[in-house]
Amino acid sequence: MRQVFFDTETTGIKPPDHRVIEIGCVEVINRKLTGNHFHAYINPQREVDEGAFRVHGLGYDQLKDKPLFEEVADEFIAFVDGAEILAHNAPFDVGFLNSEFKHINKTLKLEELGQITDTLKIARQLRPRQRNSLDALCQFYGVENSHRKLHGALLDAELLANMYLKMTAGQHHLELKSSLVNESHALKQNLRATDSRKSKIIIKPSADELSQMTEVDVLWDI
Amino acid sequence: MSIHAFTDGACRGNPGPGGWGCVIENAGKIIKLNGFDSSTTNNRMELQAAISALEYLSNEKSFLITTDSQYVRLGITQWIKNWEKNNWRTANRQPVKNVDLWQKLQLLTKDKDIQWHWVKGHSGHPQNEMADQLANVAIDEGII
Repeated sequence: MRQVFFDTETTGIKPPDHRVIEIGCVEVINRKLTGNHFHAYINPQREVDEGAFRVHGLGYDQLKDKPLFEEVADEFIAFVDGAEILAHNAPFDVGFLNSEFKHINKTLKLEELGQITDTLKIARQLRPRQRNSLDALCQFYGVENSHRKLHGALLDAELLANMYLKMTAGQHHLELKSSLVNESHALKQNLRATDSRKSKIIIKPSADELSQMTEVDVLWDI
Repeated sequence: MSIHAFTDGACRGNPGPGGWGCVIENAGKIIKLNGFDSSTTNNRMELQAAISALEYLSNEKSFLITTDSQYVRLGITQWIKNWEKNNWRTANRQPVKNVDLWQKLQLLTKDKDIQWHWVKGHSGHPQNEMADQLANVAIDEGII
């Protein structure tokens, strides 16, 4: 089982106006980091937004002599092709990379290179309504991240891989875990039913309030 | 009736033991080929599968090849011209990986009319699944 954990840094929030400036990938085979990696800084051919600069600290001046995306695309594709591809808040990174592919080859999509897995989605299933940013998860699962002052694609991909391996340790089949979760949920329902004679008032959050709770994981914080 | 080859590679480790498989449909016949390498990579096996299909079809001029590797399809249809021009370096001036196999593939495709198709791997496509199975059988037998 070959997995590639990846992360991107960008000039801003929304493609296609904003561009990818850094890609980092690490490889995991049979739940072990192999030491193989792919890393590239990319000339975005535009300025970096201030908000994005605060996240990764990379400005256009440092990027303008780097290769264009089309110059590293073949090596990137060679690295990820055929693997399960994992990222934290994957739709963001996948959207950006697909936008870059569109610049150079209209037909290719990252989904064609391998199955995409969103580790944020898994974290939210395991830890509903808690902070599931990469930092929060590293702290929760005991992955050393104190050196992460700024986001960097390769460092973050490696932290993500280490965190994911701990998050999924001892439960290689997530389906098994989700059936356990369902079971404990059913158990709680039962307890609640037997508890009802104490007539506690339970105020459930509205759908709006619930959605606000998960919005804690705003893009830049992930 | 057109000739259609389906190719796939598999590898356990990077590098590690790997295998390749081909299913070739020609005039109502189905030919199956496979092979093993004790220390290789997934991309090398994808390339070797295509090379083996082309070697088998060396007397044919026109056929289809379906791979589940975008690396192989994009490499042979788009990238290889630039790599050759750049003295087998990528646009980023890095040496092209697996250059031995790419050069072999290039030689075998010379003066041929080949259509390269792509299909998503492990998506239930019957001939792709068969090629995948052949590749994995080769590894199982090779390891024993």
